Amino acid sequence: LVVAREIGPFEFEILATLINQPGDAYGLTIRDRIKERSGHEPSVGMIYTALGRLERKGLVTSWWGEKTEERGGRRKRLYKIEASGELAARRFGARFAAFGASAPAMGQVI
Amino acid sequence: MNEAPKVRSLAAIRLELEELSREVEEFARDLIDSGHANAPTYAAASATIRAATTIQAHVRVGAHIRAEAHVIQAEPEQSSLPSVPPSWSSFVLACVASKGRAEELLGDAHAEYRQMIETLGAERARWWYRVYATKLVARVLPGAIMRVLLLHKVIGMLGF
Repeated sequence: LVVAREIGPFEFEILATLINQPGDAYGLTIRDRIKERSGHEPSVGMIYTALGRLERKGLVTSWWGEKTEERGGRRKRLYKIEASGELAARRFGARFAAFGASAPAMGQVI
Repeated sequence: MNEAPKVRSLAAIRLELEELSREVEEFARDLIDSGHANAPTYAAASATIRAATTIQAHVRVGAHIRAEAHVIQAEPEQSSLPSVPPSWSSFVLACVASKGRAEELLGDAHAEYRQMIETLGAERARWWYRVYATKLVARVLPGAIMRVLLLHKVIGMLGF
């Protein structure tokens, strides 16, 4: 089974967050960072779904952290971006930067 | 219901407001007394003194009703409810989440619930948790249905 390495805008946001947040990233912190940076607050459900997709694509890896009392004795699932994830995020960023550069010209044409 | 925190917070606000207005008033009076204030500065200092004295009078005569209402809203409710989230919501969430995700989902939800208790109070936090869990269930339910359908298909293929 060939898994597409293409990513969408929301997956890009998660990957970009993981690039800047190595080591301690999990569902809630990822959501908070996205909120800080972009101003919109994605639902945690969206983040879990996207993280699962990114993991299946091999762009991120995850492992279990320690059990903590504040989580009701449950473990955190921590996420780390892989080299392939960084590459996918940079490609996505570059593609949209190119669009951004041509936007004023497009505006003039319209 | 324990009333003490509300009274303390309100008293603290009143005191702070009064002190602040006195400081501002003193500063403005010093400015006028120094004799160096030009016309606009003098006018501004006079207006500041009037505003400061008005604030002090309002604080004294009890025009603090708005501040009090604000404090009552902002104060977390004191409640004897446990710091464990509603069990039914957790149960439903655990049922629909995939095996590998349940611990993560419930752990994050629990951690956030604990934070909500501090900001909203226990009773509101419980309602917040119910809504939160419902939204999560709506998100993960399609995946759960797909898993069940897949299982049925596999069982059918095996001829059971």
